[in-house]
Amino acid sequence: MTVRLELSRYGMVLIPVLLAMLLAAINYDNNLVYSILFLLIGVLVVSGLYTYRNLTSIEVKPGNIWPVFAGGTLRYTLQVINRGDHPVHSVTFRRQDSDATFRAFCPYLAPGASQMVELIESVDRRGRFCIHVMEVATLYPMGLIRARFEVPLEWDYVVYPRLWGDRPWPDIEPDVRTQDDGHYRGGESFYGLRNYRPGESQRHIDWKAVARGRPLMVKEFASGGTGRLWFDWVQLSDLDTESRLSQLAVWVVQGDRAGGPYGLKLPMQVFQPAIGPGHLQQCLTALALHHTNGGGRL
Amino acid sequence: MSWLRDRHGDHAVSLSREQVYRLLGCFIISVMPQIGNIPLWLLLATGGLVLWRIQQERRESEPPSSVVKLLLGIGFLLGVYVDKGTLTGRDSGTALMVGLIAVKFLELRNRRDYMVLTFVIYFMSVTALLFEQSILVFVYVVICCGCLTVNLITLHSPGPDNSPSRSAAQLALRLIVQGLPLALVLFLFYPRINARYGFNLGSSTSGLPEKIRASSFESLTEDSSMAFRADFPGGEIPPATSLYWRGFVLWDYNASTNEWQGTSPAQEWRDLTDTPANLVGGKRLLQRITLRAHSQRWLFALDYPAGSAWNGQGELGTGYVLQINRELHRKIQYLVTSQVDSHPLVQSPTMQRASLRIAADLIRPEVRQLAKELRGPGDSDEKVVANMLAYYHKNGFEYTTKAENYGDDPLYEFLFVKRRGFCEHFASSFTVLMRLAGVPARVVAGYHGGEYNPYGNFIIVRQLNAHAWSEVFIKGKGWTRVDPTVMATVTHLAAPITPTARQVEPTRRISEALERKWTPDWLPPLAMEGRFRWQLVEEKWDQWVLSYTPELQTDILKDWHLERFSWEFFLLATIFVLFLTILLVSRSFQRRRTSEEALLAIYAEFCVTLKNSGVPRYHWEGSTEYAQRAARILPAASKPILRFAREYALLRYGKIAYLEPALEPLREKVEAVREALTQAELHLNQ
Repeated sequence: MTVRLELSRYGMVLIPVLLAMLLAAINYDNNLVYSILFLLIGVLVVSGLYTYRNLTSIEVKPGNIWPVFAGGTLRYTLQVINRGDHPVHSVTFRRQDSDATFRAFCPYLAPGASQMVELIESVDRRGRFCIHVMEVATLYPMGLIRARFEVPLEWDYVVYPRLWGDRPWPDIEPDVRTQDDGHYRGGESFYGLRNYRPGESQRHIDWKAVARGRPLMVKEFASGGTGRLWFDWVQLSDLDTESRLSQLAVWVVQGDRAGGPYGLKLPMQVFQPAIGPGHLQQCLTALALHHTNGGGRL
Repeated sequence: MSWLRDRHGDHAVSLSREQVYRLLGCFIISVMPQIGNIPLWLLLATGGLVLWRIQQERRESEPPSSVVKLLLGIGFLLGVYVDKGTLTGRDSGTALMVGLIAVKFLELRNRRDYMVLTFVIYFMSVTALLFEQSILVFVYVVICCGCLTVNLITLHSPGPDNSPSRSAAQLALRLIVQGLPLALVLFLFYPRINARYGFNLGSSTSGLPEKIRASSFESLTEDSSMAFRADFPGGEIPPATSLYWRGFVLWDYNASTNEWQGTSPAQEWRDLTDTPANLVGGKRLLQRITLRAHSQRWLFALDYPAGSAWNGQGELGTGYVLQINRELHRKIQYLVTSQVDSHPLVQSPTMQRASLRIAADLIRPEVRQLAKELRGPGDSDEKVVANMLAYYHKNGFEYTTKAENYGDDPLYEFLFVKRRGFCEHFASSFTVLMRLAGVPARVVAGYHGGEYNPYGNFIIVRQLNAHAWSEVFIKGKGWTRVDPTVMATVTHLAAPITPTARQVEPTRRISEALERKWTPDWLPPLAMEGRFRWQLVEEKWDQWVLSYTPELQTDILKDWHLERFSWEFFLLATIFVLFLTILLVSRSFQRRRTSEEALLAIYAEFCVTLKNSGVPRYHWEGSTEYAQRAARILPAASKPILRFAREYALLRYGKIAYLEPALEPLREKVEAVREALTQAELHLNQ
C-alpha cells in the first residue's frame, strides 16, 4: 500500500494566493509579509505529514454486496478498520474504476475501531462486473493536501436484467407420470387468492366470496402438485432479447415468490424446476450473463 | 453501523450555520487593523453585507441573484475608483478586497467557495502589514491566520460524532510550532531581492509636507506618532537642543502663493560642491536611524550628513540632503555619519544665484521696505541676520502651536499684524527677508529635538517634532543655520525633550492642570516608564526583524564561510530542514511503547540470541520449556539462560504492577546470556 500525497484542488487555489503574498513581500520589501508567508508554507508542509499519517493505519476489507437488478441501486459495504494508535478523521472512499461520483465518507474512527461504510451506485446494464480498486483518500487536517491510496479488491458482482414485462405465466405442463392435471397449485395449504382466468378449472374458485358479491377469485394452494412450470425462452419469440430476458426475470422472481418449483429454459442452458434462493440466484445469474461473452467487464 | 452519504463529492457539501458564522468572525477580526485604511463608506457597506448574510442564515433564505452580486461588485469598483482615483496599489487594492470578500460571502454555499474565501481572507489579513509593521500588528495578523487555520481544521477534521473536534486549536498550534523551523530557514535564507521594480505603491501621509506655507505643519503639531528613532553607536548623545534632523532643502519661493517649494534643484544648477570634503569644523557622529515609512524620498540625519546612507541607496545630494531613488513604503534602518556643528564652506555660483532668487515685485512694499532697513550702510551679511532677529525680538513675536487665521498675504500679516506663528512662519519670513536683503538663504525642513529613552539609550523623534529653519550663506564662514523660531522668541524649543516639547498654549495648560489633578501622582512616571520599556522592545524588533536586509543576510552567510548567496544554498538548506521536520514530526507521531511491549521486545531479543547460537524456538514452546531445552544444548550459558527465563516468566505472568523499573535488569540478563555464549564460542575456537 503506497500512500500518495498531492495538493488538493483547494491547495491548488492556495498556491496563487501564496504567490500573491510573495509578490507583495518582494514589491514592498516587507520582512513581515515574508515571515507570514513562510509560516504558512511551513504549516502547509507539516499538515501534509498529518495527512499522510491519517491514512497509514487504515485497513479496508470488502463487506457485503446486495443483489441488484439493472435500473436499481447497487449497494455494498466496506469494512474500515483503524489499526493505528491515533484517531482517523475524514476519510472518503470512492470506486476508482467507474465513472460513479459517489463517495462514502467516514468522519471519525477511533484507534482500534472498525466501521462499515456503505457505498451505493446506480446500475443500468445487466452482466457481470467487478469492483477492481477502491480509492481511499483524506483531506485531513486542513484540506490543502490530499493523501490517497488504492485498495485492490477484485470484487465481482452480477447485475440481473431489468425487471420489466407483464406477460401472464405460461401454462403448466402436466406431469404424465403422476396423472396430474397440470394444476400446479393443487396443494393442501392455502396460499392466497388471485383473479380467475377464463377457461380455468373451477375447482378452486372461492365460492363463498362470490356469494358475498366479490368477483371470481381462485384459491391458491402452495407446495402442491408435481406439475412442471417452465419459463422458456422460446415462449417469448415475439420480443427482442433484452425484453425476453427482462420478462423471464420477472417470471422467475414471481415464481420464487409463489414458492412452487419452476424451471428456466434458455437457448444453451436448462435449469430443472426447483425452489429456493440458490435456484433463484442461479436462474437470475444465467439471465444476467446471457450472451455477455461469459460476463462482460466494464 | 454509521455512515454518511455524499452523493456529489465533498465540495458540494452544504455548510452549517456555525461554519459560516466562524468564517464571518475571522473576516471581521481580520478587517479590524485595516479600519483606518479603508474608506468609511466601504466599511459601512461591508458591515451591511455581513449583517445581510447573517440574516440570510437565520431566515434560511436564498442567496441574492447574480445580477445583484454583480451590481454590488461594480458598485465597489466604481466607489473605490472615485475615492482613490485608481484601482491598483495597496490602498485601493485592500479596500476593494474587503468589499469583494463581503460580496462573496453572500453566495457562500458550498465548501469550495468556503475554502477560496478562507485563502483570500488569509491574504487580506496579511495586507495589514503593508500599512503598519509594528509588533502589535504582526502579532495580531499571526492570530488572525491562526484563527483561519483553526477554522480550516474544524472543517476537515470532524470529531467522533461528526461534531467539530475540540482539539482543532491544539492541532493548529502544533502545526504552527512544527512549521516554525522551516519558516525560519526560509526567512533567513530566502534571497531578498532589492526590489527596484516597484509596482504601484500605496501612499501614506506620515511624511513632512514638501511645500511649506503658512500652516503646512499644523496637522503635525498634535501627531505624537513616531517619525524615526535614532541611536548613537558611538555612545555619545548630543544635547537635545542641538538635534537638528535634516530632511530636505526648499530653494524656491513662490511669492504669489507664499509657498516654499523646489525640493529638488533644477538640473542646470545642480552641482557637485556639496561633498563631505567641503564640510569644515565640527566632529563626526555616527547614528543608526530607524525610519518609518513616509512615502517620500528623504532620509533624515543630523546636520550635516557626511556621506551616503542605507548601503548607498540614500545618496547625498545638493544641499546636503539624503535622498533615495524611490518612495519609502516600509520601515527601514540605516547607519549614517554626520559632521555636527560644521559648515559647508563652498558655494557654487549657480547655487549662489538660486539662493538669492526672489520675485521681489510680487511682494508687498512694506516687506521690501523692511528688508531695505535691515542692511544699514556698510553692514555685513552677519549684521543683517542679527538685525532681522532683533526685529523679531523688539516686536514681541510669539511662537504658537494654535492655528492662526491668516488671509491672502500671510507673510505681510505675520510680520506686521499678528506676529504669532509656527516655525514655518518664522523660517519662511526670515528667509524671504534675507533674500530681499541680498543674503543667500534657504529653508530647511526636518525635525528638531526628540524624546530620550534612558533604557535603550536612543531618541524617539515624533511627527510633532517637525520643524523648519533657515540657512544663510556667510562669506568666509559658509552655510550657517539660523533658527529664527528659537533665536527670536524667549521661551522655546530649548525646553527638555519630551513629546510636548513645543510651547504649550495657555488653554492647553489649564486642561493639563485639570488632568493632573485627577491623575494620581504615581501614574505619570509609571506610564512613562512603561512607554520607555515598550520603545525598547520595538527597537529590538526593528533591529532584528524589520531590518533583516540582503546585507545582513550576506553577513550571516559569511559567518558560515559562504562568500556569496546562491540559490543552491537556499535549496539545500530548505531541503535539509524539510527532512529534519519530517523526521521529527514523524517521531512525534510514534506512540511510546508500552512496558508490556518493551518486555516482549526483550524476549524477542533473547530468542534471536539463542537462535544465532543454533537453538531456534519452536513456535509451540513456552519461554520456560525453550529456556530449559536451550540450557541443555548450550551448557556454557545455561545459568544465565535459566536466570533470564525465570525472571521473564515472573514479569510476564506474575502480578507485577509496575514493569518499567524491572525492564533494564532484564535487558542486562539478555546481555549476560549473549556474553556467556560469546565466551563459550571463543573458548571453543581456541
